[in-house]
Amino acid sequence: MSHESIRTAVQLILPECILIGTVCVMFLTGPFLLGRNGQASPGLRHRWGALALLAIGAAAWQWWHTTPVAAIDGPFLSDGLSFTIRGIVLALGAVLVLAAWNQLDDRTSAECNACLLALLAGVNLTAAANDIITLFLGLELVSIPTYLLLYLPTRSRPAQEATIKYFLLSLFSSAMLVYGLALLYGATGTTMLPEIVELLKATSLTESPLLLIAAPLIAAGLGFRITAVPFHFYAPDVFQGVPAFMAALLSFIPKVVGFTALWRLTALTSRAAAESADAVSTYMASVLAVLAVLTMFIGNLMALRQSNLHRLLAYSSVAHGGYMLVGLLAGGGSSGVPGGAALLFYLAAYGFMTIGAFCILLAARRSGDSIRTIDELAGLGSSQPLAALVLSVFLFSLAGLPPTAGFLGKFNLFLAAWSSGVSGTRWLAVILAMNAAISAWYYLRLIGVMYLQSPQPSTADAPTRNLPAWIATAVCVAGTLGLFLVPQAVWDAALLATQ
Amino acid sequence: MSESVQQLLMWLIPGAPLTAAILIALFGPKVLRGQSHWLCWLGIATAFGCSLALLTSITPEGFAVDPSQPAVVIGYEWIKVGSLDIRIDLRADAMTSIMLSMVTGVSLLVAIFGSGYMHHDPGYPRFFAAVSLFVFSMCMLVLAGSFLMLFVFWEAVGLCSYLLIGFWFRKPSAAAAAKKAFVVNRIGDFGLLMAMFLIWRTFGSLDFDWVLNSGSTEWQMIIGANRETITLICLCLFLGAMGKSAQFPLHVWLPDAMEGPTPVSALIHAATMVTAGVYLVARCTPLFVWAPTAQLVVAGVGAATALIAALTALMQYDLKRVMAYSTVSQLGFMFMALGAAAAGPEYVTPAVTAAMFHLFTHAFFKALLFLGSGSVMHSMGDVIDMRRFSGLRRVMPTTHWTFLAGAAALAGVPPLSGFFSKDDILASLSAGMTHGDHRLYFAIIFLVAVLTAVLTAFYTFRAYFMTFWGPEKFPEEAGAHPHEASPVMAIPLQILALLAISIGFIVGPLTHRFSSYLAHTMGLSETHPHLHWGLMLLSTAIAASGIYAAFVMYVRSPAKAEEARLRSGRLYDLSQNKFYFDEILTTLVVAPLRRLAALSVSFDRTVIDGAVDAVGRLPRLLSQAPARLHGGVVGNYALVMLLAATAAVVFVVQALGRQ
Amino acid sequence: MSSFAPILVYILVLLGFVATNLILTHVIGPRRKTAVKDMPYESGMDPVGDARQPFDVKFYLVAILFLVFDVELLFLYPWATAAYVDSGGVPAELKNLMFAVMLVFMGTLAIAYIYAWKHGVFKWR
Repeated sequence: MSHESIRTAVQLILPECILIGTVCVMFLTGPFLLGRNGQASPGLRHRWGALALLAIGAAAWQWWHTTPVAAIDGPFLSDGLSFTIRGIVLALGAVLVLAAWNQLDDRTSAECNACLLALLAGVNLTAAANDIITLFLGLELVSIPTYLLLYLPTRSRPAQEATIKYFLLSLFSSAMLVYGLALLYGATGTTMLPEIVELLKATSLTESPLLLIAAPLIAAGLGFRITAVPFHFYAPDVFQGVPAFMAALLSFIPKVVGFTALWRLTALTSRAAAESADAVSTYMASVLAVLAVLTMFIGNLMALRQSNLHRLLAYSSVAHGGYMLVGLLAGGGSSGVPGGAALLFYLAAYGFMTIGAFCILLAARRSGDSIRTIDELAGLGSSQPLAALVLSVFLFSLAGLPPTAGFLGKFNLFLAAWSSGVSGTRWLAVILAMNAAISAWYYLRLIGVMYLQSPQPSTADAPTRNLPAWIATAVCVAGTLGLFLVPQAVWDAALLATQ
Repeated sequence: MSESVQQLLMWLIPGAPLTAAILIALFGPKVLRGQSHWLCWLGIATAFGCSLALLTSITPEGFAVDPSQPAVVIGYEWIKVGSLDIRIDLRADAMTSIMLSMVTGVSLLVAIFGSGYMHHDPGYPRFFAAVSLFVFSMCMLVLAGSFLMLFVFWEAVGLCSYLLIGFWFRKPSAAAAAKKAFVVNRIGDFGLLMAMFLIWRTFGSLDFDWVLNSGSTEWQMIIGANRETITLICLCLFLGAMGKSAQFPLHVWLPDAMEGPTPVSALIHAATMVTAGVYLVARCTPLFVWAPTAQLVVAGVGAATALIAALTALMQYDLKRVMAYSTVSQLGFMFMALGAAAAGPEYVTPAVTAAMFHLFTHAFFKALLFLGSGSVMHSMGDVIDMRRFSGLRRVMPTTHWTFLAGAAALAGVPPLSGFFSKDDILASLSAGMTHGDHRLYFAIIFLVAVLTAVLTAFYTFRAYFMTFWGPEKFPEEAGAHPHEASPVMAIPLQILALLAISIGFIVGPLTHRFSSYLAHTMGLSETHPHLHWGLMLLSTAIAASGIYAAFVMYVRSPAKAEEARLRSGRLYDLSQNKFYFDEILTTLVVAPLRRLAALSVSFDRTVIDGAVDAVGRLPRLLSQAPARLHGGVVGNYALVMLLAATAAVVFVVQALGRQ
Repeated sequence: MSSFAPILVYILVLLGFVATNLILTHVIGPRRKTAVKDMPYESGMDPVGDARQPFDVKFYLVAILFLVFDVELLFLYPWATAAYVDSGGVPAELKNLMFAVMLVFMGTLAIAYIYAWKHGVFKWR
């Protein structure tokens, strides 16, 4: 460790430094802009939102000027994966700021925006981690602001319940994860990820029985974040209790960190990464395959029965976690389509479509918070044709139908799983296709409700204007259609990450 | 013409109608309303102008160098995933540009006619949006540079057809007809998909320039090694063509498709979309020449379709249905010609040219006949039963003479367009009769063709005489004064009539313009056709006899028609009832499917719903089981998480232990 | 073993101090028993009854703020002991950098402290 190495380490995380710096400024000055009794001047949230966007813009500018480099010796690295994840997260982070904009009240907007930026920085740090300590710190930098964001914007009883549930279960999963990581350190004797990966590839389980406990615990801890069944129970309850932008955030951000961390620990999870016959990853691949199948089926079957849109999208998010697990399991793929690239492409596509769906529910609200039940969608096709059309685009994408990003994403995942050549993975591909068919039913039902049912007279107020949410929606529509029409750039970036 | 201008033209041909479709869909219902047709006209007219420019720009000089090269290729690399490289190529050669000019030209006239016909309809903008979308899809279909793109837009035109057949979706019969068309077409699509799959397996690519390029030695090797597969591919391709082009026994959807607005029938179900199957088979000529079995099947199915449809058309009273069966029959003619390529290598080009030429002329006179029927229907208050009106020739003079022109062309009266194209088809069939290995087979087909031609002349003029001759009679729906078509409807009719009369004369066998132009297509070669005087005499005789019979039976002594009807008894019933095809299909296919559907519904109700209910209860059960533990619901969640993690540990341990 | 001798002495002194004090208070101290005084936590919660009663959140806030200083110390001690020794500590060229890092660290904690202060956590209303 020298002067030089510290400086390079800091340079590798400059975008995150910008975000964290802004977070400090927000926390420091936020309280001083409030009145004596904690009241705020109306419209204060616009300033904080703008500042958050500015910070993300600066971080994105910094990100754009980094060039991915291969492995490096230090706590951070800046390879293809972190480059791609940063790009996706910064773009969708800006969308989340816009979605949150009018859902925050003026008093707490400084803290909320700061938390948003902090957790974006956390995701990026996870992606840039080269060491299990920084990896875990990154994960916690996502979790802790999430707890705050769950309760700060709306202090209602449902939000309270959601917060406590998420808080306790998240802590529980973090505990499992950190225990697993500790055992991993015990088994390998190093905290550096590249060294751990190399050791794991060659180590057989009989040599290092600590891994027997470490690997399942790590998988369980991260399984919570990617809402893998049976670590998903919190999702529907929490989604139902929180405002729409938080539901959007929860459906996307934890998945990104979860899959990034799983990716970094590929040697624990992917059959393809194993060099020794009884390396831990050969067993863990089976465990994760079972999780993937359970996740897809239970997510989709439970979604069939929901009448609350937030719950429905929560189960949909569970199911999508399962699809992405298939991509992870498809592995490096020496021939054909790399599963990792398919996973990353799907993450980007999924981010746009799920956040977009929540954004339009928010933007098209008639009164109160946002559209929350399927009944409220009735007749949207005639009362708000634009909103109905936009929501249809997102639902098409979620169902995996062309011409949307979701189609291409599922197509890539399917190709990756199919071309890997392992019969087990081929079965996963078939199950993925089956589930895509099941899921189409409940997504298309919503479109049917919008266009074929007549609106309820009681909710026919004029929609309240929510310009930032509309902008966020527009960005998501552009992303959802753009990733279908001109996918090559994003696909190339995803491929870069697998090299 | 420079490369870039040409590329711009090619993007504009599908781009202009697409833009029009999007704009009308967005602004039609609120802003444009009754003015929606302007955008549609503008879009299609742009496409038409560009098509004509393309037609003049890409041949023959551009081709002289290397006929196997397509005129223009514009690639947009959509995505490259692994070994899969999906490109969006627009590709034009002589066949494409002829199709484009024909499609956009007829579409333009139909769109103009439609603005008069659809006047006052509440779905006015929707109609023009769908028509523009159809023109876009059809242009993309013929511009497709690979089977994949062809398939995508094959489905897209099917979708437009579905939307337009079911245009009046509140009418149950229209909705049912749309559904029927959709379902029957799926059978054909299955064939096309299978063909694509086999082509991918055999050739490793779906690009026309590779799969259909007979020039390279590698291609020859692939063909040589996979003769059976090629036959299978061709049969599958033809199955796809049968669905779209309504060939026996998949023809049942087309007559029902007449539930759509008449301009749509003229455009989609007579002139353009239904010919996509013929286009597909003609396009794949380089493959078909290696599969004589498939060619014989094509000719046989075409002949059967032509005859059955003509027989059915004989005794229909619905004017539009007569035209629909006539379309099916004429498509059968085109397939017969395509099949006649089996006669030998030197007969391939004349046969394909004959089919494409008939496709070309047929588009004009059949669109004309449909629009004429539409004009009659419009004037008669939407009554289309020929028994309820007659003697319209004095009331509707323009409609009368244009319809007569169309009917004469269809019947094959010289020197109208239908005469030349039908004559070409008979010539290529007679070549099959005198050359090659299947003389007897083609002799039978030739006879069928001649018989069908007689029947065609008969039923066409039967419809004409029943509608325009005889005593003046109007249905009460027509109101007091049936009116002639408004100018916006009459002008397209007149233009089409002039084309139907003259186009065969201008570009037909007399001048060789069509054949020498089309020869610059992949798989075709330059030939020097000659006129077949004997066959021309035969054709003239055929047309004259059919027309004369119709004149005798329906004008001079209508009693004879009644007498003939009584005498033929069963045969008449057969024809009147469309050979009971719908009934046969219903018992053989639909009823078992219904039963299957009912079974699957009950399966759905009991098993699937039960499973769903069970799964729905599962998380609740899981959280109920440890309910005795204190700590509320969250604790149970955590417990399940812990159990799962433990199960994972146990799994890994026991898997290790088993080794 | 000799190196552990000071620790042994230290433990003995410690135990002696504690024992002496306990005994002395027991012997010298006055004894006036009241009900309140007999409770285990004289100023705290009622020790008998339901343990799951609501608890004033201000206790937690203060406890968490205490953590701020606790963690600060945790990092400051090792640094302070290692930074300014002549040999074996932080290398000379890194001393200034480490100092800057420490300042950043304390600055971050200060932000949290100021934030809490400004929000009135220390006002015991």
